[in-house]
Amino acid sequence: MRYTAIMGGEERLIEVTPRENGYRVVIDGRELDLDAVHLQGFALSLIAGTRSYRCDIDPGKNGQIGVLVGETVYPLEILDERRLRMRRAGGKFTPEGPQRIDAPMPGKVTRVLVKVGDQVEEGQGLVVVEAMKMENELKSPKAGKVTELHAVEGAAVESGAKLAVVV
Amino acid sequence: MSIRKILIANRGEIAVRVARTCREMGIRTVAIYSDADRAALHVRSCDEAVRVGPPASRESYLVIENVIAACKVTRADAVHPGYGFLSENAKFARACAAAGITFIGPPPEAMDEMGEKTRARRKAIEAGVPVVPGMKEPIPEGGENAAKKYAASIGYPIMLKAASGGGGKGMRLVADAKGFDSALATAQREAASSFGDARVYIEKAVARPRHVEIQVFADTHGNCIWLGERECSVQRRHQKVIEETPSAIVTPELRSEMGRVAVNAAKAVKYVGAGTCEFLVDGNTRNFFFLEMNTRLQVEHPVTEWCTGLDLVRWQIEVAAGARLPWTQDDVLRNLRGHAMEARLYAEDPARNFLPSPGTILELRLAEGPGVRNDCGVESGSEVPRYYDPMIGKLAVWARTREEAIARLRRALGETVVKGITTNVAYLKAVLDLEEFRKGDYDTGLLAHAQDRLLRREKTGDEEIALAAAAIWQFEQDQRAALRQPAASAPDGSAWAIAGRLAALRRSL
Repeated sequence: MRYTAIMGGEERLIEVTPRENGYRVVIDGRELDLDAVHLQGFALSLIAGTRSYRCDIDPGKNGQIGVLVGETVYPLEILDERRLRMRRAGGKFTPEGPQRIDAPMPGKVTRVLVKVGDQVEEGQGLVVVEAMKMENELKSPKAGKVTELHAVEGAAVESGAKLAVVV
Repeated sequence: MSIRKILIANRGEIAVRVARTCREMGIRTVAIYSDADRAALHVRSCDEAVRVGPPASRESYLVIENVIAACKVTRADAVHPGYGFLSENAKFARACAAAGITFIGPPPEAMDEMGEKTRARRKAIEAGVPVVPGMKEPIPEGGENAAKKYAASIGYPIMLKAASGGGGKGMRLVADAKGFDSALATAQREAASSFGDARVYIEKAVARPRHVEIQVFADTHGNCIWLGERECSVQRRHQKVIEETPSAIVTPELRSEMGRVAVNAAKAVKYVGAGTCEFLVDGNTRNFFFLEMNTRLQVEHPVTEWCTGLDLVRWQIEVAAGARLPWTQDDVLRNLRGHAMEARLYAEDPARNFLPSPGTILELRLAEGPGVRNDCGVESGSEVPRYYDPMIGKLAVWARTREEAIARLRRALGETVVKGITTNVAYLKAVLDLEEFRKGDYDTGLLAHAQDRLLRREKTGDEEIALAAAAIWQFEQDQRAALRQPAASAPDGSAWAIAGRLAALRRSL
């Protein structure tokens, strides 16, 4: 099975073939013979030669996963050919395009600092969301005009809720 | 007087920690919970549990009537307030007394005098304890302009602090007059939401400050001793991150001087139980100033427990039941041993400006091995609600020397795995690796100054293993998904063949 991984902005081609007690994995042409055992939860024990690794998978949202090897977490995306096509076709906002400001965590909107139509500077505070007793000011990622504003003071918001759009 | 059933008026790790000691002492326990905490670990750690309201703490954990009612329903004879919530609320202590329930903490009069910071400062000055220059009263309503003038008169930088505060909430460093108004508004809002009291006051900020605190302990028979210091200068936005004892900058002379002063302050308010006098030590001159007295058990009490060998919660309970402290000051100091260090685990994302990251913990693996102690309020499968403080637990270690303690804490953090939510574990490791920290040469500004180094990602050369693990994991997910399809549509071979392959893979399960 072939996959494309995106790690640190780079695409890596990976081919996985089951073999006795594990897998042959080819990454960009480099072969790795890995003895693999599933551990409880989302974890794998891999032995490459005699080198022993514990790998913990933290399945995130939207295909983003974190792989913990030893003490380091490697955030990456793993896509098969179908998902890769979908991802490539999917529209991406350029920094120049409209910027959507989402709630980064579930919480409560405590203040809305702008109105629709306001001209804002890059880094200017737009909305303040409180979660876990800490206030977090969400700032505009670019200079532009506020074209949409969905944040309402006092309202509870879920993680990822659209709060505003700056064009 | 004997205490047979304690209601723990708290949640999270401290509720679990208090319940542990109660169990060791053969005391029954009652948990309280909000609707967001029905499935929380602390509820299962106690013998009984009572709902006290909806998720918001203002409507549950902070509602005195509800907590007292829970005591009555369960016939609890004492309340342990933990830290935060109602722990430093004299009104609550009085309500307990009025209901015939023993409050495990100081008398309400001592809380009144030390609980409000400006009053505590006045009391400290009377007891001959050195304090940082600042306001003797909180800023009154409508007094914002006068306060701004006062700030200018003592000179920037200044600190804004919540009068009823603690734990860094409602606290702001203000560098100049320009930032004063917005900092004041934010501090007041945070103070109101955290402590139900929006009042704040002004103090001059100290240069190269180290935060060192003294644990004191007093019984109802007039005995008051101190149990060594805790160094808490590793802070981020006034929230302690790593604590240790002993402090790298405290000399034996400074230690006994601070201890003496702390005991004087405690005696001045007829203190009872566990309390902490916080000091700022000027990193250049080693002069120290009284900051405040926390009239409760501190989050970081485990490091003191490691080095003194005492269970502070047990002694809080014993003292509340009228026992005498069985040791003299000399006994305690003679028995101090080794070095202890604690790291606070937070559900927050250092890479995204430390945004809280509530959510479900898919898996939690805690460190074990020599000299390791975990105090955790969650376990695998736990939900970290968005309503409360993001601290999920504490990892504390003991070793003979500071160097060994750092190595041990570093190792133990390496064993700590939290999946499903983002935590500060990697950040904590980076803090321990800082040269300034290892040398003991830093002040409370350490984390702010080292921010860039702390957030840098280091490559370790295991990228290929990570990629391989991800691909194998995805492959097995896909195979399993295929297995759920009818055999005819399975991509390669029959479902039986795939099932056999998967079973072979999981040979260790």
